[in-house]
Amino acid sequence: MSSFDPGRDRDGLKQALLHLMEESLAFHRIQSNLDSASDATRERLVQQMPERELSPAYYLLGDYLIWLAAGLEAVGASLPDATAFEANGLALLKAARNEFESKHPPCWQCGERQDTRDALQCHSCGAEFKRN
Amino acid sequence: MDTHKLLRTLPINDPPLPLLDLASERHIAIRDRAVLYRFLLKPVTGDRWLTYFQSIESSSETRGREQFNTIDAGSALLSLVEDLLISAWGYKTPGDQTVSSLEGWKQKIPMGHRMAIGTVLTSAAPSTEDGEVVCLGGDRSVEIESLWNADDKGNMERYPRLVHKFKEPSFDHERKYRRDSGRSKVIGGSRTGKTVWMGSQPTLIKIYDELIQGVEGYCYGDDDLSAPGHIVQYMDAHHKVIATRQLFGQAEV
Repeated sequence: MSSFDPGRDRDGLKQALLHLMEESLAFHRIQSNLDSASDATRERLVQQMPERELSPAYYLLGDYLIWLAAGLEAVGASLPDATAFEANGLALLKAARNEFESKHPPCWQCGERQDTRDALQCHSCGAEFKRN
Repeated sequence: MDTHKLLRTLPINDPPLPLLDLASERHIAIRDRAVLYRFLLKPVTGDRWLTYFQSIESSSETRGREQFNTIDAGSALLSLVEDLLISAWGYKTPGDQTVSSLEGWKQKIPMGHRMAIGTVLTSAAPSTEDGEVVCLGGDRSVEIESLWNADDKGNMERYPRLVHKFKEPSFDHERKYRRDSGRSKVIGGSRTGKTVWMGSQPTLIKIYDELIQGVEGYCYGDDDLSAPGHIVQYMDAHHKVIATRQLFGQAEV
């Protein structure tokens, strides 16, 4: 049976990175609703978590790239000995982050990310958004 | 006063075990239905451990919202044991020949016994003893436990606290460990196929060799392993992997 290196699959890696960001947003939303939620609501919230569709390697590699970018930012370091996977992966992460942030803009008042860019009101603080 | 409670807080230990001697051949004993079987094995070299690690089949699949992980080390373990066995006692043989004089004697040993020997060889694990080593000067200490040799009565001796003292790992060490934990290939021709993990043990061994400062509980013959270079040279590679992995928590699937 044929096999391939998921670290070289740019489209798959980007898809996994976007999925991890969506998961993180959904998890944040569930956490903030969990205390006041009934059992049925909790179950519904968990079922709303996006389902993973790729092979597990993609998500572990995606997690690694997110960890690496955060670490480099925290220590203000560059990566002179980056592997091709790391260099390409960090560029993919940047592209995926731009796409994610465009899809989920933050509220101008409280900073909470919105489900869509078409929202009329912040789901968290109720601030209204002007439509252009 | 509850004297039993007090006694439990006192540092009363069983008689201390001698140091774990990495130079010696391995004497392993198992009991099966009240019969004692003994085995003599060669020490496991670093290269032989690497072959074992590379032969472990570890894979993961996503089904719905769940991830299913599978590890099959059985074939790798049997191969390891068969490579190392020197002789065995406790079995009946035709004409009371020595076990090792029989043709194909290693394969004649019941598979359950060979697997039990393999379980002893790979018994190193994070220590389950209470308490932790106090770290001074930014260095890190981790404790592992392991079975090693059988005593005269055929009981396996357990070393509950084998201490490994490391320099503090750098961001780059953790980076290499995390990156290499993700080394994998996807089988199945599509992105939804099975992930086969390549293993991070070689990376962990390299990191161990770069960071190790001292050990407690080990020796190599007359060498007390006080020199880091000697630890790098003589430490059991499986112990290196188990100890180093504790520096980073669980990044592996």
